[in-house]
Amino acid sequence: MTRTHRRATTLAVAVITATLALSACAGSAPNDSSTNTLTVALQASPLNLDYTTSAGAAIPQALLYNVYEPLVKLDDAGEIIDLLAVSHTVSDDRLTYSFTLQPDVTFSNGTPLTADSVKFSLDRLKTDWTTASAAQLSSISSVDVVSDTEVTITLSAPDNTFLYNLAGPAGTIFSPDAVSDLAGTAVGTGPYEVESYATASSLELVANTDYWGGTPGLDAITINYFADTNAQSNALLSGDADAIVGLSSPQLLTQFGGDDRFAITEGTTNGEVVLSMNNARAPFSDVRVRQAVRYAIDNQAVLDTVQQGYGTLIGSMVPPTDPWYTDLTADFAYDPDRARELLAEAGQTSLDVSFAIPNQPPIVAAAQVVQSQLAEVGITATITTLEFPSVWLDQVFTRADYDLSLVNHVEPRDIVQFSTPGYYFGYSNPDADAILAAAISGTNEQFVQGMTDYARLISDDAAAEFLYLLPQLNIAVSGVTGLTENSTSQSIDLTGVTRTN
Amino acid sequence: MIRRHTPRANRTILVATILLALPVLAALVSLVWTPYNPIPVNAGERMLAPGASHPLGTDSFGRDIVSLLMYGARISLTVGFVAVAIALVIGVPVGVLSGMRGGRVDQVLMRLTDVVLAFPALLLMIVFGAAFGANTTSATIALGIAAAPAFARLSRAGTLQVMSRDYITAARSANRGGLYIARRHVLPNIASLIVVQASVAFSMAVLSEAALSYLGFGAAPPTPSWGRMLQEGQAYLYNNPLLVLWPGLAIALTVLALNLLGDGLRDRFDPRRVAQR
Amino acid sequence: MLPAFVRRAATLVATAVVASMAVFWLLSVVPGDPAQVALGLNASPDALAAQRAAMGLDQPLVLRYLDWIGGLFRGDFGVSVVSKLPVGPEILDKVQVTLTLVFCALVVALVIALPVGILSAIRARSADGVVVSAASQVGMSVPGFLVGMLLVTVFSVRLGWFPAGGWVAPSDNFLEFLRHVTLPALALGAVQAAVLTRYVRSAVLEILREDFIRTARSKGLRPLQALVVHGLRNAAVPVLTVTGVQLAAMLVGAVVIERVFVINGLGSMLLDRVGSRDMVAVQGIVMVLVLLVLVINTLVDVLYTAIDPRLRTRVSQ
Repeated sequence: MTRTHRRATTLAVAVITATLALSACAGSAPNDSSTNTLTVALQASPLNLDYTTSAGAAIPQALLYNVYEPLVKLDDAGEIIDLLAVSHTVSDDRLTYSFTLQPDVTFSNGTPLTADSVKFSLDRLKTDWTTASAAQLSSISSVDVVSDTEVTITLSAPDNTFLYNLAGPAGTIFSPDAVSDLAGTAVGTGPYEVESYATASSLELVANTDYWGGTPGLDAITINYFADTNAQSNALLSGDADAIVGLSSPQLLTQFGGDDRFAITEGTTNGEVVLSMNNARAPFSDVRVRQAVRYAIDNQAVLDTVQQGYGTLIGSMVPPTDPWYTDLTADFAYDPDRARELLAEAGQTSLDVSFAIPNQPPIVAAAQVVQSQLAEVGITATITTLEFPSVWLDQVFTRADYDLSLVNHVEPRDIVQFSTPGYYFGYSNPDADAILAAAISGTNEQFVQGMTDYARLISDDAAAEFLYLLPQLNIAVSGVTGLTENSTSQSIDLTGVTRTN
Repeated sequence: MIRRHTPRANRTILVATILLALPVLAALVSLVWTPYNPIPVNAGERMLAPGASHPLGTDSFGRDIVSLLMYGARISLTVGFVAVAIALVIGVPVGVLSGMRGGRVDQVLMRLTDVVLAFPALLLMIVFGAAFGANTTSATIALGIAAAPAFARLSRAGTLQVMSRDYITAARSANRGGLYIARRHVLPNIASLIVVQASVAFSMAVLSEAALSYLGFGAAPPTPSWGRMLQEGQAYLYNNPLLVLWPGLAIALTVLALNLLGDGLRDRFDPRRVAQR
Repeated sequence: MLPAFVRRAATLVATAVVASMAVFWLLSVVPGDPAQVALGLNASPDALAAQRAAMGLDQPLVLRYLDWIGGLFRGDFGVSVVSKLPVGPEILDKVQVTLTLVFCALVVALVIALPVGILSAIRARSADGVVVSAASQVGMSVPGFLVGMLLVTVFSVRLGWFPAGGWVAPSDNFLEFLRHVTLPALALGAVQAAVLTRYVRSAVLEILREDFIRTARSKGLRPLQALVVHGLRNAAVPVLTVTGVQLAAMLVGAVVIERVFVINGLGSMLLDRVGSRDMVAVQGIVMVLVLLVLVINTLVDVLYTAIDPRLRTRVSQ
């Protein structure tokens, strides 16, 4: 070796060693667990902080219950419990709801919560909200301030869904002084406040030390957003995050299993993966063709391939957690021969249809399995991936320019959309509409029975195919307690989370 | 002392050709036959280890990996081939015209080339994918357009060199038209430069297509492409790293072969560089 | 010197303007209604129409273009149609991240390529030279994002030495910044290192052949000394030229690496905003990337014309 060569080599080795040593030293610094904070890794990120004018499940997921509060909320079992209302009563004709508010509640900007805040917030639904959730409380005809702490809401007709929807984003109570910049600032009554939001990157929440419900469990929460589920789980594995709520790729679970650093829970959601068929035009305007599609799908096979078996098979668009759930999974059990019979009856033995899907990996994967199974019965479905939400919303949702589509419907109790005029399902059945209307305005028993009948009708009529219900897969470092196991509302409820380490 | 063909240049070309033969053959054969149909899902045969019935195993959908790789070769090579063809057809005439005419024509064409050059290939592919739909067609066209300026500049430089030679003046004085001069003198002389650039552009096209498919903008499902296989396999990196290994190897092998080919051709055509090897 | 510089600058601006027209036109063709995205499911047609008017989407194309380009000159990139926040400051934030990453990747590439390329050129006839040549060939052939995926799996998930992703600004915490930038810079820079090594080696070999080097060697200087004393300046120029070209390639490669390592730079922002049809933001980002590439290309061109025209064809990409 020449002298210069040796010198150069030595220098190189020294540099590399120093760099590795430096990084290794830095790398071995333990996570600072002495502070009472939590870092959560999620996927879809909020467009901004305002769910009154901006769409997307991510905004209420982050802010509902954690930062903003309605009068009532949904707990981990899906039951309606009082929140900002300390109690409520319903009149006998079920048209008037009276709420008594919690005393001494202040918004994060110091202003007090009064009945005026409630009236202000609910009146805004008709005038300032542009997102669809406002329509959930359209049965409100007036909101009246009785005293500083008492408010009554009068409905135009009995509405069995009213209280449930009041627990959702539409029921959020805002401070009248703080609605000028909802996109950039969130002033709520919840246990946490928004400190900052770096768009599509991370949301910093800090404890509201004046919270009416007592000291919040954590001092601060950081929510980091990952476009890619691999990166999300890598963050947890490498110690950059403390919890994942709602893992969308179950195949990543094997990395966490058997590792006692982590605790995995599997709960329920309201997320039905719906294979929609455009009822408004041929060939799916023919019920026999739709039923054939339902028979052609082997749901268990799709669940196993795409979800590694995690999830629940459903027969209609109703999760087992809803009161009117009945097990209809046997109704259209996998039967490709029956599918071919029906198609022959309908005169459609070699169909060519478009299959426009969002370009989300779990959906793309499921679509490939579905396409394969449809090909077996003579239906050729050509897949086009559309950017989600923008292009999918435009082409499929608004213009209904599709034959088949596949999308995760996350909102609770959204089977009612089959009776929404102009909804992209293209389904129009006055009998079904009548059953739904009667259920909503009837008594509680009539409600449950009516919804059960509605769900069965939707299933029998094959208005869509319901692939499966997604599970709620949470992974957290041991010591993190209080994460809600089930996704029952539109919120990722972090209000009860504490740490023991 | 300076030889036009050295054993080394020829050896490189030989190695490159042998390496390239695998993906090319795979692509060609896949047009008529693959061991299994790579499109349908076989839920019962998911994630099989390499064995007798599936030499490289199966993926998360139960599809045979050998068949997927063969089909993917078709995609990558077709995209590369057509993209390079587009780039050639646009770039070379522009460059030759620019070099032969000079003056205003040259200025305008070169400014236009600069504008296109400002759009890196992947960026153009993403924007095209967003504008015209994410599929192999938009990707190929975007690639072709992005690669054209290199050919234009190269052709122009080569043309300028040729135009300065005596036999051009002679041809001109003999009243030979531009098209004749281009065909008879310019093109044969710049052919070697173009061929080398073509293989470089081809390898970049294969890499870009893989990156685009990985990002989710490339070939539509369920069409298998090597980049999409990488993206799908990433989630299983812990359980089954082979799902990432096979397409990764395929890409690396093809790109390596093309780069070696370019190197070998460059050495063969440019006698000055020979001595450096 | 000055008039040439002014001419170059004018060309740069003119090219940028034409590029901006191309960007605007291309993105106006993009399907998907930004108003729909902003308002979401079940927005009424009236609300949509009002939203479109508020976004200025109902004006003719040329007017919208002039509006936009005028804003750009003032430094106003517009307001994002989906996040309702100004685009300019966000782009400024993110471009710093991307440029820092690219710079670190360049450092990695040079740290690998320079010593390896120089040494292997000096020992061109021995086995080292062939090994380096082969290794750099293989290194060039592997996709950068694959390198990234493997680095994360081994060094982050399995060994825990480095974080799996994310970004810390150097001004916030330099040690954490180093930890977060190491793997992505390696992934982005390793492939470029392979390319650069070949050019360094080739340039150095060329220099070593030159007569004045031979003269220096015949005077008794060793190859490295001869190189340093006489040849490095000449070798530097073609290498710098190629580095400039690679810089532009790395800027785009960063888009994919940012996805693998979840770094919130310009690349991530671009992919994100394309998905949400935030045309104002996408236009701004594409324009910034194009401008950066143009500036780099112009600088490279200037270097090009300063050197021997023979090398122009050799270093062409």
